[in-house]
Amino acid sequence: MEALASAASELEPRPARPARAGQGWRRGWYRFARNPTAVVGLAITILVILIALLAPVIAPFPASAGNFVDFANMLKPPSWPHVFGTDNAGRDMLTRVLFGYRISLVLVAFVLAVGVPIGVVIGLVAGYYGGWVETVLMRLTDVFLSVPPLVMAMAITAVLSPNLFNAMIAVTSLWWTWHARLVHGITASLKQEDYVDAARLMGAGTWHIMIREILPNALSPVLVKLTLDAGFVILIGAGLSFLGLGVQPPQADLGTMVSAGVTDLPSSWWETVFPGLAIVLAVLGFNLLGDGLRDLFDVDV
Amino acid sequence: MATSDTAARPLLEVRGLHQNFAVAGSREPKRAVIGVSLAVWPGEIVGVVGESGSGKSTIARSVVGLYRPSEGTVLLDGTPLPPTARQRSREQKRRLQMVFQNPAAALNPRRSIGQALALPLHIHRGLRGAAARAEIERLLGLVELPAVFAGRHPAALSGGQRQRVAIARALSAGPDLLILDEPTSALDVSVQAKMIDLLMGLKAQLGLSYLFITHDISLVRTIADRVVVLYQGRVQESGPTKAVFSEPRHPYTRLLISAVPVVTEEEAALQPHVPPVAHASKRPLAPDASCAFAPRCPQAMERCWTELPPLYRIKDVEVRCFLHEEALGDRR
Amino acid sequence: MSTTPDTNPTPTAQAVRPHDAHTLRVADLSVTFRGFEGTARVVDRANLEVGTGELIGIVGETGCGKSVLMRALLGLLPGTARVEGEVSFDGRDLRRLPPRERRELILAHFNMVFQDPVGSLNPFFTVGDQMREVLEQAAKRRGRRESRAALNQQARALLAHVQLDDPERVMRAYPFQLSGGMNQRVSIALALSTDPWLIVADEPTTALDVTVQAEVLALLQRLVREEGRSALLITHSMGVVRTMADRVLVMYAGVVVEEAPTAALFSEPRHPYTVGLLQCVPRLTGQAMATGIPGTLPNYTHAPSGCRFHPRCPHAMAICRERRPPDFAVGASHRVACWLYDGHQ
Repeated sequence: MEALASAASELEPRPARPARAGQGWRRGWYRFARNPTAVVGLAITILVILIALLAPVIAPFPASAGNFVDFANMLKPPSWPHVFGTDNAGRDMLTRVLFGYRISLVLVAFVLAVGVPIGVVIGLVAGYYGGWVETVLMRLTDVFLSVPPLVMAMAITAVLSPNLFNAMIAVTSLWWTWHARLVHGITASLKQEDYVDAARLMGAGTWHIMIREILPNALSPVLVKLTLDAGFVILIGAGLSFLGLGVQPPQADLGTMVSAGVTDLPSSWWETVFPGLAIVLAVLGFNLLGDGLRDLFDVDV
Repeated sequence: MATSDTAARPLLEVRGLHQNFAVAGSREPKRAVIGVSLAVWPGEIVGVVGESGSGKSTIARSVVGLYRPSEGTVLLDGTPLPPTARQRSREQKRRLQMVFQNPAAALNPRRSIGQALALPLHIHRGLRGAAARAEIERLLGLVELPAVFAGRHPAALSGGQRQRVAIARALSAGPDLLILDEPTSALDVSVQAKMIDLLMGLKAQLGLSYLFITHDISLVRTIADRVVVLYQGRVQESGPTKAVFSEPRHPYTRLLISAVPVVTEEEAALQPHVPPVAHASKRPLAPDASCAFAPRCPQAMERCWTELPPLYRIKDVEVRCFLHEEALGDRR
Repeated sequence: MSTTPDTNPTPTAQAVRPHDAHTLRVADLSVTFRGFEGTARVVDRANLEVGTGELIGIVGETGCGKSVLMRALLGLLPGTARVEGEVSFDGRDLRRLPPRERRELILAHFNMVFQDPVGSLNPFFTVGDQMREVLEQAAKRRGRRESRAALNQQARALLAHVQLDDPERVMRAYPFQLSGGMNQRVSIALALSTDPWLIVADEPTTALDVTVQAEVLALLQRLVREEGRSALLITHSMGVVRTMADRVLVMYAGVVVEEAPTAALFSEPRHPYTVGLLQCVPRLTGQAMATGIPGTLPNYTHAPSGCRFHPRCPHAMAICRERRPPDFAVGASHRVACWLYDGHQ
């Protein structure tokens, strides 16, 4: 008879963990799906990503995304065929919102893909070695953390020219600090676990212990934070653009659109409201997903 | 079976081990282990028994090099070992392995059993790929686990199974001596029985020696050849198991044995009657100049508060108690 | 065990505090959970009776359902649990009462001591704070308001009652400043603060050193005998129930497989599981113990048919696979759920 685990916790007999990896995913999904808001978050996130990827294909008026003027059509309220109305250059708002998602997600992807690994590595090294290495790295992190993100972003984009790429650099330059701190704390506590001692007794070297023993266990919180970060990055990007430091016209990310539309409030409300709602939707989706993942991982292990 | 007459020297010897820990917010360090000496001869099981605060787990970690001893030496086959595991050679690490107390914590939850076992095989025996896989299968068989477990993660296993994996891992390096730190404390009694049976079988099969640390008096009585009783970091009594249990001399040993909740009348008859001490005395103890057990000892004398009793030797038993002051040579 | 009272003193006419007499009866209690793989029947038709002045031990290994059974009694199960059967207190089925009334009844007559005192005591508050809070709540339920001084006095009295010397110092301390044994005594004091008829202790001494365990168990025993209370002691240690209990229930895989007065259970264990379990306990005599009970605990979602122990039983017969054995009487108040004793009336 298979000797699988039976009720270890007496309250809710923990179902025996699956034998094959495939079943693990199914079980994870079962638990995840029990949380309706998490599923909603996942759905929204997938929707947003799809929009970003397919924008050129699904946008009704692709030309509106770029240099296009049609003053005859300007400031039309939401109606057919311009479901979100048009802006003050006659460009279709729906199209611009769809393309705006594209840009926002590029920003998110860059910041997370570059910033998170940097932070993880710094945190891991600091947490594992301790001593002066830890002190130096963590104090450095503290310095970066003490700078308000928008101020830093403004400074960087003021020095370099304001464009999307530099905005991404600016945000990334600060983003790694959060993950460094997170991973540092986890590493510092994990390195005292018995299995790390066991690995050491087996003769494992520093490299193995850091990468193979500690890191995999530190990744769940990082993953959760990552999804929550996505929302924040979008907001910061929007903030930068709102201030004119990010994307430059005619490219528009959602923030720029909100900013541009402010002058025409309250009469042409659709210029501000729809991009704004789009931001809310994306941030909400990421946050719900992040919460759901955290609930999932908290029960785990 | 103690083979002190056939072997020249003990396989493991601990001499005068002291282990102190810095305490945050205090200048006084915490003295977890104070002047402990013990020896494990080839083929023996030495049981180290004590309650919380006795220092028994600390001894395990100090011997194996996870803590740097504050004082004292550990000798393997007569050769002194470097104080920390990091400084020890691969060969030294191979010969002395440890099984931890909590099987759940001793296995990395994110690594499969196979991966956990592959590590020592790679490091100590240079095995990789198919050769490693074959060896992993053999090791799992040794601890009576099916080979398919190599692909599983610790969460899929029960406590007893995880402990078997931990034992397999310790064995994979090919050790001579295993330090087992409360290996069965987290297990149910029937699972413990199976585990002990496995451990005894492996010992016979592979010619191992064990340093077995536990708080379970009855267990130590059953499996150990010699027993060391610890209280607050010091050895209070030690000797061959049968001798110590048939005639426990130290009041603390007597208290321990009397407190065991036994399951048969036969055992109850063996328990010493210890007059209870209603409330532990509050009289302060001088740190190195008194017997730590005095506040709870029903036979405490004035001397016990002002002098540290040395270890007296009575035949093959050592007792740290003034009641047994027999000047047949005393040791500290 | 020589530092404690006799193993099985009869509840004689000692100075029994006039605590009200009650009875608790559990009939055919089953608890089912729904999970990923299906439904798991974690407690299967358990029967239990507790009278006044009785100390009942429920013994079994991890996963046998003893903790779930206890929580079902106290109404502490999560909403995902489905409970069937009867839990009657003085003849009234607790399960049929409206939730509020049931809660009142339970709070008035039952209380619990948990396994891990450091975990069940709030680390952020002093012992005094926690005792005062509980005493205040208890007083409120009786429709009284007590002054802080009165609460303090009651608290000190309780702490002295559980043999803590210097109650004042303990009141001012935080749980982490006290030893495990002291914390457990505090937990007992807290449990006594509602003056319960039934104290349910879930592995109360598992986390304690053996010498401290003996003292705490002796305390519990005294409280029951001298104050006319009852106690339900849940543990995995056969030695502990032998020392403490008047009657013992042995559980395996959610089923009560044997029940007997303590002396009878240990001198003449009947159920193959009980026998096997006893043989696995290390002995002070040093004789080798059994090599375990073959097989492993069943998966509750696919429990074995018939008798849940049959896959591991050296005496399994055909009928054991087919039908679940009822309780057979094998002596005075001694019952076994095993086909081997069919016709042993």
